[in-house]
Amino acid sequence: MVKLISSDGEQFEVERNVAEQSILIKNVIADIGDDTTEVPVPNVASSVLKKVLEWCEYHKDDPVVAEDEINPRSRNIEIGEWDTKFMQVDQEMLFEIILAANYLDIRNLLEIGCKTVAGMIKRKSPEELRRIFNIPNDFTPEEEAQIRRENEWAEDR
Amino acid sequence: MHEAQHNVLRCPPSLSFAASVWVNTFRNSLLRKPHTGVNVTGRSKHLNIVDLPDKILAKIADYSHFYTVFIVRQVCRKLRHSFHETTKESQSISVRLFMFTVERRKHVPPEWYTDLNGMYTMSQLCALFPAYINIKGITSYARSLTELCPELLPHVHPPGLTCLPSKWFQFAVNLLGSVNKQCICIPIDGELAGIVIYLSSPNGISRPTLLYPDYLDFVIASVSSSPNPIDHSKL
Repeated sequence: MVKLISSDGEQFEVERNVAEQSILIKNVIADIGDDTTEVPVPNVASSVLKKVLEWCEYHKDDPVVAEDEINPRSRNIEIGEWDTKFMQVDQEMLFEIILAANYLDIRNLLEIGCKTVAGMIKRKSPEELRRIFNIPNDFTPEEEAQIRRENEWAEDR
Repeated sequence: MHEAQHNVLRCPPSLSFAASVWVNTFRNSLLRKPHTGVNVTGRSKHLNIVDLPDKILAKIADYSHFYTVFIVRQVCRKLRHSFHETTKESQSISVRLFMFTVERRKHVPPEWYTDLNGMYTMSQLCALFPAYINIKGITSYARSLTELCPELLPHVHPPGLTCLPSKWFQFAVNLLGSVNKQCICIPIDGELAGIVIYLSSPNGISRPTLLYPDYLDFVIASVSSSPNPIDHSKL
């Protein structure tokens, strides 16, 4: 068993193969030997770590792939039903999961997170995207004019 | 580089267990870019897509259709920068591919075409964009975009843009007089967006053309039923 300690001090005890879905944790365990029981995860809060470990638990028997092994063709592969449901969280949690997956080096989770966001931005107008993600339009009038010129070809006429 | 750093920073066995854990965690933190917008507790207020590191935005862009990337770049400065810088190469190629597909029959500035310069063969493009390009028929000979351009240019950018589809169709139909057809289907976002057909004319010169989706059903039927003659009454 491995005990993971979140940034806010909460402890999560998980099987080693669950924790080792994270390449970061796997390396830490490898570096310090088999008798490891506690691994601090200072960049991830308990609420996020709990969610990430839920994913790791479900996928504990999946092979851990290296980044360069991720097949570009997987871009076409649909996210599985379980993962789709797993990713049905509020935006902030989704981004936290992605950041945690990046930090902990959980490549499949990172890929699924990015795919999920890609799905959210698909077929939206710039205005819709600003509204969905609460992003202010920070372009200057000159920049907007430049963008209009660049995008002229795609406008309806 | 990453591996080298990993080895250099590997914890010496003499360190205590607790120290080694923290050193390793610290080491791995160093090996990663800090997360913009995330505070020390790992939670931030109003964490937003624009707070994601460029590496992650690049991944998102990678999973997005290039037209989506094109739209996202209009949202704000940060996304314009991230989605541009991280996808510049694929964007430049795929936007041009977009021009060869038919999703929109609109004005396309000629510079999109004039700077094609045939840097990529179709087989290279297929390797670069496996998600976008499926080879349905075969191209035993890879055609460069330069070869595509001379045929396509006068038809893609005519003065009267509203009649572009029918012009295209006429162009294609003229070429379809030959039955030795080979085709490349270009699906975008899972939908068939265009089809490039290579046709061998009697003089042996292969002439590529591209058809709009409006006519794809007809074209696909024509291609699949080759060598049946085309029913011109359907035009």
